[in-house]
Amino acid sequence: MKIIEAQNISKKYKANSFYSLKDINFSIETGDIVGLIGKNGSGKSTLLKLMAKAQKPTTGTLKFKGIDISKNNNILDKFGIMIEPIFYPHLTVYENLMFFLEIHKKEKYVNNIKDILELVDLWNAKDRKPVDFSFGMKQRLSLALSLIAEPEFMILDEPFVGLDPLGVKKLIEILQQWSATKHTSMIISSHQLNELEDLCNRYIFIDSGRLKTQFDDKKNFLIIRLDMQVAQAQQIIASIATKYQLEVNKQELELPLTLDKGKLNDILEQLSSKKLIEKIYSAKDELESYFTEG
Amino acid sequence: MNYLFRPVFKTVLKRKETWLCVGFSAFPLLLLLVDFFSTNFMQLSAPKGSLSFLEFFGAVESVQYQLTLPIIAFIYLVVTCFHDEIKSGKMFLFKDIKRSKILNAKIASVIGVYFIYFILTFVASLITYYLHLIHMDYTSGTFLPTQLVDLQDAIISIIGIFAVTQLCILISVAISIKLSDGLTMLIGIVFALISFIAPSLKGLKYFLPNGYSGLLVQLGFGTSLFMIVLLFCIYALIIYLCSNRAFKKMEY
Ligand SMILES: Nc1ncnc2c1ncn2[C@@H]1O[C@H](COP(=O)(O)OP(=O)(O)OP(=O)(O)O)[C@@H](O)[C@H]1O
Ligand SMILES: [Mg+2]
Repeated sequence: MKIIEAQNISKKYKANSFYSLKDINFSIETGDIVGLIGKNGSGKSTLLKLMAKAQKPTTGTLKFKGIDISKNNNILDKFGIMIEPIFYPHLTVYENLMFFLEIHKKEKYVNNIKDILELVDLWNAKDRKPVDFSFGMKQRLSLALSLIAEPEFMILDEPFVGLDPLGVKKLIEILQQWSATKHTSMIISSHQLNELEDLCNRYIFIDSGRLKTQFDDKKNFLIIRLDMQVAQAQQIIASIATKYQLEVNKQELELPLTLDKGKLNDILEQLSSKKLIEKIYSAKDELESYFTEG
Repeated sequence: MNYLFRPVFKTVLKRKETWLCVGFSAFPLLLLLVDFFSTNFMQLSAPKGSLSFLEFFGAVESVQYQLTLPIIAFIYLVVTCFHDEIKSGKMFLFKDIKRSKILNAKIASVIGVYFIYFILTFVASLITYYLHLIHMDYTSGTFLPTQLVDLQDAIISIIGIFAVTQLCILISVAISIKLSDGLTMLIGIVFALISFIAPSLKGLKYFLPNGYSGLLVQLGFGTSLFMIVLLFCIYALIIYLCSNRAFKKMEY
């Protein structure tokens, strides 16, 4: 089921003459963890702010479970939002969580507080005020706030920034665990591609406000770029693809890493005997190539 | 009052800025110290045996207002509760709760702090008057003035300042939703300064609630009171509608 649908979203900030987002269309299925990637200033935060209703789209509609989010209040009830550190620095950690639950009439989740704070490693700091917290602690408090009411959909803007390697690992674990047990869908913007790869099953790449491409995660694939100039390239590849049930994407053949020795050697032998192989790379490089090639 | 008021008010009460505001309600207690050190600061003078409690309270409120510091503290509180929160993304916490509900809870909280300030000023005045001033020869020792005219004068003056202070707070709210902290402080203070001199300005005194203490003789008590309430309601409504519009359209 589609949990989020974006239709022809454009956004021009009043102060600017250019569009920060232009004609964006995509959808997110229940259970998806979508990585939102793009260069600085490409419009990632803008897109997430539109989803959080902090900004209004200039044109287009955003739907949550088929309902236009701009039509009513409290449609984001099931959203967990972590866009900027969103807590009150003058309240203690515990008071912040209580405040959040009270204003959203979610007091029934009071019993979650201990679990969540233990999860983000802040239980011992629950009576401290976040004013003098380290950056990572602030980040984790924001995360706790976005998780406390058991959201169905999470919006995370650069959640890994400022976390130490251990913290990053922990955050990834938390999100993975959450997605596995609660089937929470997420959209996560980040420049940390390796981290995203551990987490996401799909990617949306935007460049200068336009959606360049969206693709499924290929981290478990080896990708072979083929030389299509070779005679009969089309036929050879088509027959290999059908024989071994492989995906061909234009001039790229996708090999699952799980392929057994016999098949792998067969395929590579057939390809190399015809000098069809132009380049072999892993999906990790592919993700990076979006940045370098643009 | 909507359910948001309680949690929002609680967070406002935990702010240092709130206690700065409320701290100014101890102002009348200064008189205890002043007389103790026998300086010339704010020496009250009145005909022998004439000053009742209510008149004293009116004088305290008036001096407090002209002091400008409390009102600056209140504008500062407004700025931290509105513009600072909007700018720093605190609004994400509220997600898409109806904007007017959030606004109402915030305004009610700030006005609530003013009520606390007002009541504590009253209490501090009571203490000062009955513990200390009552021994002075210029006080009458009665709660209300004996002369009806004096009573009416005190009431109009107290209500006038009570109303104009709240208008000043509301104006700051409206500005703070859109403009920067500095501008809000500036405009709020300018409004406060204009309202100080309003009672002594010919045309302006009809337009501000606190102007009517100078018009009491001319218009009579009933009319003056009615005008204060009417003006307050009209201004408050207009300012509120502007704030509501701005808050609804606000993006962060
Ligand atoms: N409030 C705003 N007012 C005017 N322009 C804005 C505003 N916010 C963002 N922009 C502009 O919109 C464009 C997209 O910005 P955005 O913050 O969405 O980028 P981003 O992809 O999140 O970048 P980064 O990776 O640096 O976080 C930029 O050109 C930016 O200058
Ligand atoms: Mg950003």
